[in-house]
Amino acid sequence: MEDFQYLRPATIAAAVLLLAQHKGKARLIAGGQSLIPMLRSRLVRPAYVIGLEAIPELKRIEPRHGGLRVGAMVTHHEVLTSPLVKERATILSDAEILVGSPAVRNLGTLGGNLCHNEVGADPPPALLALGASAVIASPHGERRLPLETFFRGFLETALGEDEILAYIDTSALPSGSVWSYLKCRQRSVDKAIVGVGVVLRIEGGVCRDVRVALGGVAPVPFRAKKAEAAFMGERPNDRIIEEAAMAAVAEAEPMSDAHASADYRRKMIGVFTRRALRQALEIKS
Amino acid sequence: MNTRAKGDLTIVGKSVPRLDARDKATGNVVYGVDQKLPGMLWGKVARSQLPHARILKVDTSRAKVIPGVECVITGEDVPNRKIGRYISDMYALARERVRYVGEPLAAVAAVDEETAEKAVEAIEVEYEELPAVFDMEEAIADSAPLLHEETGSEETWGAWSRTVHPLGGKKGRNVCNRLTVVDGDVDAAFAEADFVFEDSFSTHVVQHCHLEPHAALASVSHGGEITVWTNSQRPFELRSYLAHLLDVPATQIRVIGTEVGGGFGAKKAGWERFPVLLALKCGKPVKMVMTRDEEFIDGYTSVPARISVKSGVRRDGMITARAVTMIWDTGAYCNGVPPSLAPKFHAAGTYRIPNVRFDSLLVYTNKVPATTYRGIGGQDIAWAIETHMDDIARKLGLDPVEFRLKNIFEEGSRSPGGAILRGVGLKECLEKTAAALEWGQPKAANRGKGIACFDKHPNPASSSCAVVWINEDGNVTLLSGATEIGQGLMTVLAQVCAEELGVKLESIKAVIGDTGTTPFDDGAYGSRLTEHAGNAVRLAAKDAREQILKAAARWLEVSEDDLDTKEGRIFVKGSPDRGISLSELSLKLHRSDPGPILGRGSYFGGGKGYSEVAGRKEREEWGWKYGVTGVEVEVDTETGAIKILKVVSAHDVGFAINPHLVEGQIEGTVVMGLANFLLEEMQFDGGRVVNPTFMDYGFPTALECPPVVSIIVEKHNQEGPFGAKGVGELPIVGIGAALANAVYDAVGIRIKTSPITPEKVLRALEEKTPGSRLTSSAES
Repeated sequence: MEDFQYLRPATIAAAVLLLAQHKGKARLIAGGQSLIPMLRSRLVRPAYVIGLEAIPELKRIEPRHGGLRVGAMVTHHEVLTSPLVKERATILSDAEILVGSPAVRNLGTLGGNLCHNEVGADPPPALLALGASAVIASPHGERRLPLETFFRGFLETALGEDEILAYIDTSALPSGSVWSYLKCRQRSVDKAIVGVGVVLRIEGGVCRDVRVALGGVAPVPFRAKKAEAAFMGERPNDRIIEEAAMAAVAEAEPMSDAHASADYRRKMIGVFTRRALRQALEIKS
Repeated sequence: MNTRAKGDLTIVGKSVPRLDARDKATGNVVYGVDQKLPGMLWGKVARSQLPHARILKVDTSRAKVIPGVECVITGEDVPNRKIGRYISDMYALARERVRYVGEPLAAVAAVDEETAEKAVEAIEVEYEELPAVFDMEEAIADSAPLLHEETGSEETWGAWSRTVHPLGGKKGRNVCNRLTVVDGDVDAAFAEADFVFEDSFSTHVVQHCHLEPHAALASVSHGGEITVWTNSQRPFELRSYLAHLLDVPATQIRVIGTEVGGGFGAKKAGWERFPVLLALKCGKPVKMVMTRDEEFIDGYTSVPARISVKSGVRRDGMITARAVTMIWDTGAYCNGVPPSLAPKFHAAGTYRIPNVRFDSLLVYTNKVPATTYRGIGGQDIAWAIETHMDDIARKLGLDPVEFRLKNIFEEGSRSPGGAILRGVGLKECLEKTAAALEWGQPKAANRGKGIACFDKHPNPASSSCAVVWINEDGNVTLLSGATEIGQGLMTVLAQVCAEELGVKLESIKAVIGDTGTTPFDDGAYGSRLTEHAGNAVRLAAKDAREQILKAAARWLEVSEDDLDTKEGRIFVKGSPDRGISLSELSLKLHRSDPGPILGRGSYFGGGKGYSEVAGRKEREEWGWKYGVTGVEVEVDTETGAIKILKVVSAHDVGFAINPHLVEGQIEGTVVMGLANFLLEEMQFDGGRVVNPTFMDYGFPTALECPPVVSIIVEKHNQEGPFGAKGVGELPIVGIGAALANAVYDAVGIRIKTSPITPEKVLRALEEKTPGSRLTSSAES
């Protein structure tokens, strides 16, 4: 690791100012679970590292319009043990318990996880399935972005060099909504080979809302829109579930890496989408 | 060497807590990575970026001028002498050629680690790339590039080694060692056999993943004395390796073993030469610690194998012949006990087979060198032999356990090669494992059980020495050149010493693994120390006890035959009040003739196993280590994932000096083996390691540890201390095969190429049942 200067602003505005001052030479650090390995392997060599731990408003979980506002500096452990999250965004708790190891969950934060956009992260598919949005602080004030457009490319997000992800907002789920987050992995600490988040609502036996999101299979986590289309307006049964799972397989272009081949990922998209839909609908296999 | 009957034992055979437990749990031990000296520099190595190339130029000029850089050395600065632990095939730093990505080309010393890293980045190398070969079978083809010219000739290697291992014989292209074992007449036996079965298997590369990386600190005195603090498994062997490299007397070098955070066979490859060469050049102490990336790139690896097995079997289930061909990939250099020697001990399996032929080749390829890995190839051979055994049983319609029991080594069995085996607890291990696994009971869908039997050869031919010194306060200093690498050796040696002397365990202070203060020991490898160092310590304690009794007899004016010792007191048998404490006696002896008591013991043993050629005289052999692994799994047929429900690991350890430590060894080794065969695999692309981090390499965590049932079987080993044998490597040997057999039992597929990944399981299931798995559940 090379030397850098550590800066510790006390407000969001001060942090944004520091980013603007040291444009291109600074990196934000939240829990350090992604940045420290990148520093050690010299993937990044910032002259300044800006720590956000002294900014209180980034560390809160608050109710908001029946949904939630989660500060970017809230740790995975705090998210998954929060009764408010459990009540209003259970799928996020379900995903958070699968993040890394207890040590990673104690230090790592939700915001840090989203901003590094590492392939196979668990919170993104859960939040995409919830329809969450990102609240971003910039020198020109706040802007809001649906999470779907937040993730841009391999380890890339829509954040500008002088912007900070401040909050994640989720809205209230209509009553009757059901959900599931499932993860295909080898070791308990691994990122997802495939992560599937599903939130849907059945009314009168017919699917009225559905969001299916996939992680681990492409440079960015994404909504499997064709799978959603196969399910929307239908009465769920084995055939419809299978069609949705196959649609998810068809619209993914997975890659190979040290953890799994593209071919295996493709197969697991089918298996885990099917299992997630069945689990959400409480269909015993 | 019996001096005390087993029934009287009070300290050995008991699960006393490890002597270092408190210090280790509270972070108070000093590991290799913790060593420091005032004014020390940090060393780093510059590495080859190509798998095979001629070195045209190593330009260090930019590195040398970086502020804080003290010195830079290249292949031109190191002794022009080839080194190697068993075959001398490499230079201390590459000269003229590099043969793998990561091969050390230059080394730098600087004021701190960051500066040293900058200097390494500033070194510029010009190469002329040469054709490379990465596959062991391609490497032996005539068209393959020749990695070491010596393999092209008929001459044997000019091994400098003090080794007692037979190396040499006719070579082939890129073959650095070849061993052929013949006993009986396999061809005739195959012709006569009712059935002949043939199959081929292969294993993969794993890294040792000791959590403490290689670390060493070297210092040179004004008089030229070299001191090295290192987490080596074998301080004395390192001393002689360095003495050879530097052409100095061994005693000009002192190697001080530090606490060791795991070794598993990797920490004895002579890596300490870099800080030593840098310290000699700079005249200042130099410390080096490998990063995790470096451990994967250049910390050496296991030795993968391709194994073909052919067995002749009679209608009644008796195996009459077995031929095994093995190719082992040692990477670019041979820097460990050549695993090509392993067939001497393992290749027939644990069975009484009258006719055998083994052919074993060790082959160079352009990859990171391999070295010994816990089990030394036994697990690779068992992967082949024990899955092959299961297949034969199923084809003959026999139960796999029953089939093994028919052929298995028993007390007095003749092994292939003519060893008459003594102290054989194998059958008991098998029966107890089968019982613990509820073998033969009905099973649920997609669940299966598998079993594997194995042995490990007697210890390598090697020596241990010990000195037992009674201090003036009656407490005992035990000096042994052996090393504590986490296995609990210090505690075991102290137990042996206390038992034999008749003193309390707390009164023993062990000083170990320092070539400057402790007597010779070959070090920690091959599961040898409990037996070898244990014997040396017991002999030293016996010697000291005899001196104590003689002196006490004089003071007490009785015959020494009438005396006994217990808990630090010497007393007249039958009248315990009439005696003298060891502290009182020792103090007197420090002030009168014959002076303080110093007991000494040394032991040489091992090195047997079967001979390479037929007709060697039959002889009795004790100390073979036997074990059986049983595994129960559940296979997810949609994902190919394997869930471990239970692992049973039974071992004949002769006599468990500390049962709790034996269980610890079993559990740890089982987890290591499971990870080896399910999760871990070093992946290469053009000779470059693509997953050199714990993020991408499947190193297990606590959550990957299933319940392990450890079973200790004790068949007295006449040649071990109190009947003991070692156990450190054994439990890894059968894991892979037991897993493969359990998967077969569960879902009827046979994985022959390790590791057993979900992808392979799924592919095999699809091949077995044509038609896409993806649609299958829609039909259900």
